[in-house]
Amino acid sequence: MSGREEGAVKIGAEARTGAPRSLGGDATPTLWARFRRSKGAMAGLAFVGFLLAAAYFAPLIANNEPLVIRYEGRWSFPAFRELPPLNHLLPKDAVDLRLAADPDWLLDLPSKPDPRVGFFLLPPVPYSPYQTRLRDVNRGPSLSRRHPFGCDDSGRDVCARMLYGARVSLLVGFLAVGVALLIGVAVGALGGYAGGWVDAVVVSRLIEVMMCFPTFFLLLAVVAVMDPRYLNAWTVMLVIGLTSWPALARYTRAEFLRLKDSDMTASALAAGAGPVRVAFRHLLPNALTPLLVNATFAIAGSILLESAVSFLGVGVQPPEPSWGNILSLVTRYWSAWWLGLFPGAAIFLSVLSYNLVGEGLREALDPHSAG
Amino acid sequence: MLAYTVRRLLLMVPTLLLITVVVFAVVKLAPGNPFSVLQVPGEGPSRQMNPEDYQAMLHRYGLDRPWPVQYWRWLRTLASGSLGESFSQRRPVSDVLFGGAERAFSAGLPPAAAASAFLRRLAESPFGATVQLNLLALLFMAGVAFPVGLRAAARRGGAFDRVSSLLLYGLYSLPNFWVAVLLIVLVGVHWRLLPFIGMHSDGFGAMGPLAQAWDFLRHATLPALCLSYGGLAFVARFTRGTVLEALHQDYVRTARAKGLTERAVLRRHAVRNALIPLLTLAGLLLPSLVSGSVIIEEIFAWPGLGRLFVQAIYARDYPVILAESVLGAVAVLLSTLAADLACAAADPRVRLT
Amino acid sequence: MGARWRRGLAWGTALLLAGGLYGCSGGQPKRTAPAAALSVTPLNRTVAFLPGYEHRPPENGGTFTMALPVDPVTLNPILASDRVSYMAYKWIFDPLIDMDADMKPVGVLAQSWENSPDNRTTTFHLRKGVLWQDGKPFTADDVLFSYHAAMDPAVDALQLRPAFDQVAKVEKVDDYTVRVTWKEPYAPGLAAWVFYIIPEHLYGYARGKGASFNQNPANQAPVGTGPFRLEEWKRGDRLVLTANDHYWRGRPHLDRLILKIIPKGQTQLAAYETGQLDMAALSAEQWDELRTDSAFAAGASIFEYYARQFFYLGWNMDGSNPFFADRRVRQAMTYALDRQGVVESILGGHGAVAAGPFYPMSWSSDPQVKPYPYDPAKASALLDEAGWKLPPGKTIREKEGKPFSFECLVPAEVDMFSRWLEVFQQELKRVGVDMRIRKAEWSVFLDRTHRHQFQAYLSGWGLGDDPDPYSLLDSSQARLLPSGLAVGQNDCSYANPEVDRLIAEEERTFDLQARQTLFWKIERLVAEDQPMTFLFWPTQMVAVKNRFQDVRVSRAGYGMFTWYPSLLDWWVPKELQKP
Repeated sequence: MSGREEGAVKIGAEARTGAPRSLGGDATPTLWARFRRSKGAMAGLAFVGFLLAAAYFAPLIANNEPLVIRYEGRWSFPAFRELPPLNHLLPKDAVDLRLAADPDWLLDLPSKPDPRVGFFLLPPVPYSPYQTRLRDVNRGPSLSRRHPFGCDDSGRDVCARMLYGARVSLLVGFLAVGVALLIGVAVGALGGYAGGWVDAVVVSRLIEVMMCFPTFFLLLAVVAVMDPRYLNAWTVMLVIGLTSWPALARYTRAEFLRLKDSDMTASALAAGAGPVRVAFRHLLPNALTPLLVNATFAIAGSILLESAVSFLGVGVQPPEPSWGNILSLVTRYWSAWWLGLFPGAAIFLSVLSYNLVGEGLREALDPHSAG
Repeated sequence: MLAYTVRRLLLMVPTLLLITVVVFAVVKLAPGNPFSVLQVPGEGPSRQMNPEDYQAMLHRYGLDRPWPVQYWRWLRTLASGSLGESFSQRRPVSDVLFGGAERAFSAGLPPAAAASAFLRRLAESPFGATVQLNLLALLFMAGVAFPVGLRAAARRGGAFDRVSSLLLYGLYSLPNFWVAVLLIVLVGVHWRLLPFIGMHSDGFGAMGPLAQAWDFLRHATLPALCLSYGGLAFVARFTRGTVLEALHQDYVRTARAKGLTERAVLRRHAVRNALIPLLTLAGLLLPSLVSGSVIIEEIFAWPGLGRLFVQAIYARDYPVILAESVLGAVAVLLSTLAADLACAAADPRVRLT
Repeated sequence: MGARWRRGLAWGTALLLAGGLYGCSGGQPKRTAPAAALSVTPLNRTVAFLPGYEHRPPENGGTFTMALPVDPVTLNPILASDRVSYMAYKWIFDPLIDMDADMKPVGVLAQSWENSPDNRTTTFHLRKGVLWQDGKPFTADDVLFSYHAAMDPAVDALQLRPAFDQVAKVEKVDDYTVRVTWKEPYAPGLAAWVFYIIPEHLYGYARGKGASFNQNPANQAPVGTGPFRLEEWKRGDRLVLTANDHYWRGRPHLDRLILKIIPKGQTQLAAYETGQLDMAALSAEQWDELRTDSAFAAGASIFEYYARQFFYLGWNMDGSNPFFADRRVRQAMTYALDRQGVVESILGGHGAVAAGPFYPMSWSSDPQVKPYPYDPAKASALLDEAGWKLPPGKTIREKEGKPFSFECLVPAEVDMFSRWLEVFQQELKRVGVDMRIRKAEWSVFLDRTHRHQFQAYLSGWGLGDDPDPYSLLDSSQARLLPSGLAVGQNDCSYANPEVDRLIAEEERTFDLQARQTLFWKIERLVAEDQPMTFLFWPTQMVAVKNRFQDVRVSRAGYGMFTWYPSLLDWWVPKELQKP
């Protein structure tokens, strides 16, 4: 249902309605140990780590500039230019060599030898994600041409685009959820803690209004209005975050409402702590950690949402790569299976991984819960 | 409880108003209007619009006034009981959304015939199309996820529990438009098992009621599957969770001590008590009944509210956009209220504020 | 213990987030230019018959199902301004005259017409004995009424009115004769009378009540004189039209016409393959795949034709940017773009490079005017000459310290445009020009281009029935009104007084030879000035189930349906008709 694409986050957060949990510390093994027990969660974490590494090292895996080259007698490392902070570690002019405008000149070197070029080493996939090659339009995967994942409908290498697209997909998850957490926790905490008319009139109504707001509508409208000087990917993330916070707010509010009347709060207040301090030092940490579980699920949901939004054409715009916009090509070229398989598998694996990590976290945090 | 309900219902009004104001303001921010979108570049000298004429037409429809004024006009129309008139379809918005169903009662027919005409028109309207599809999807979801969750709770930690969990999470992780295309290509084109376009076959009007129902089911299966597979994980986990909670309660231990078999325990106590939270769940899923999935409806050419909404945005059809937003918002608000009330009814420890 | 671990988790998550953000945002990967090119192909059959059926007499019966991408807005031809509505109402109503497959005017509701010797009036002799679908007779009153309704400021008929700009008055001579008086002799004027007539007895309204016309319930239940009548309209689903047995030309051979609302793309093709549609538009990629599919090819007649539409890159010459007022820069742009390469690869050979705004297969286009070849060296030379030089060590040209970096506006909905632009972006980079692509939603795009708020844009131009380029090329059409919108479609602010003069002259020239000479002159001037870089004339490929006989395509670019009589002559042999 649309609940899935628009409210993936809503679903995640709502899963925690119900009976109160046990509070406070216990004598069971540490959080990490408990987390490690779940093989699925560990596998998920490993994959997320792999993703982050792949996204970071993307310019070294897929790039039309060489990893290392001896040009006119000097050594240079052009591919590292896009790898902060490493690019600051290498000597300045060694990295900043501007090479020819023709992106294939190194690949064509055997047939067009250039005496200025000595030794060079290209990354395994020697293409940039933006480079369109008319003769490669919709070409399938071919290891001999070093297109392991094939090319898209403009002749751009899919593997390169997926590696750089990983950055976007990961960013979307983190940023959108970050925004959602920031706003959601603030609003929810305020409502739950303050109670009374602040909650009933202001906070709950605010949450309701945002929940009723049609997400896609907002995205479409924002894209229509937005000045594209501001990177579109950031806008999408911001909007996804802005529309996802109500669920987190509702959850936080429920937690604060419950904790407000607990013994812990009562004793802290009795000990003389001010209400604000109590909120920050006692209530927030208790509400936060399970919130992280929901946040993990929300990241997974955001990745799916990004792909849905790209399919509708209001997400990250080509030529910027994102898994979503590569995948959405498969709806136009049904026989170009590589456009569906690789980004689809990537999305599938990352979403699954985040879900498993979230499940693992939930089990680790509260073994008595319904997990 | 009653006071709370009444207060919540009253508070709904300002919420709805606020929503419509924000929706209207946002859509007005986007340049263009219902008539500018109709322009086609070129088509020779005979197809351009005279700008002065164009301004005059805008003025006639009040589209050149500042947006708060336009919003006020819409409110006034709403107060008089009408949802306004659609620009892109040039007929009343209530007709656009509900197919003129309400008029079946004023047509002078006997009540039984009027009721059936009402239902028929509603069923064929975008509103009906979306609701029927989502209902089917909900049934799929419940039908599969509920027993899975139950079984997983009964054999907690066992092979079924872990495998089903992984499988369902895996399903959730698949982008829905990708699955939709896959299903169309395999089931629709390759194996020709099911239709994948629209809601009815060509000869629908001439079919008998049973044949019509079957035709609808065949058309709705693929889109409903795409809508429901993602929620399976959530519903199954939720069911499992609540059943487990119930199983940990004291009365279950008592029942076991009394000598009841595990199955009887499950059936008599756990399931029944798990039902209340599940109703809460149904309340949570209710809003999605009314909001059509934009992607699925687009891919399967399903004539529902989601598709209508997107088209209305592109066509800057303000009355339709506002009406659909209100519809969606009302559904969310009512279901939230129902969920909160059900929670309170189920657990007296929860205080309503 | 628990608290410490929770804090640790919080830190860990924060680090993870930070690391992720850092790594992900690290540097914009740079973009670089693309590579080589290939070769071309032309056109096909214009008529289709299964072997053996060519000389058989046509038989009545059969249903033809085709797809519309969205619902028609209205079935009232006066109010409708979109193409989809046109594809629906054109079967229900008739125009006064129409164009045939060779772009010659043919009389539909007008049996014949002639101009007065000074070309200031055109007299239409209407066909007698034509009946509206409700049985009432068609007369000149209907024509008069239709015209006045279209011109009524209270009626939302904005798209139609400019066509009658040059009409001074329309009067009824008798029940079957209508006389049009022109303000000036106006050669493109006849094309305006491809004008669909509506019945006065259903739509008539009292003076001053024009607004009621917009809401007339007959808009949903139209009655026309056309070859088909509306049987059913299920919004969002389909329209069903049945043959009009009393059509003046004789009933169409087909019994029914079904228009299904199916979004464009793979779904239409899939519906065609499963038999739910009888016609499908094929993209280049789809054709490449399907041409080897024997099952597909055996059941289909494939047509390829030029659409009456070309695509172009418009350069804003109004001086608001420092780049495009100089002709050399515009010419350089055209030399720098490998248009042929795009035709061969992205369009799959289905199209031709455009040299000017006149349809290549018509009399208005000069075959001697060829498109500029792909010559990046020449482009660089021209740019150098215009003062845009490449500073040492930099990749973008500069002039007086300003870099040659501009923004190209493109409608977001048309993916094809974006793909071309991305290729062009790379090619321009190679000559030291930086083009930024800005996608805008359709209405936003129209708004910006009509307000001349752009530096460059990519769009299409559809040709009308007369090749007159007045609104596109005449300098007066670039003027902005106080509201900010432009008077006409000359968004590039092109102003060449010689072209203006030639346009004014061709509008008054009725002799075809003389008019042709004038058009050729205009084309040559425009080719030198390059106010826009003309990109392509794309072709459209279409598959029609081959049980339909006598299916024809217009060589004048009207395709399958927008000419007369098109569908009306199709027929299905009894043995092939579906139940």
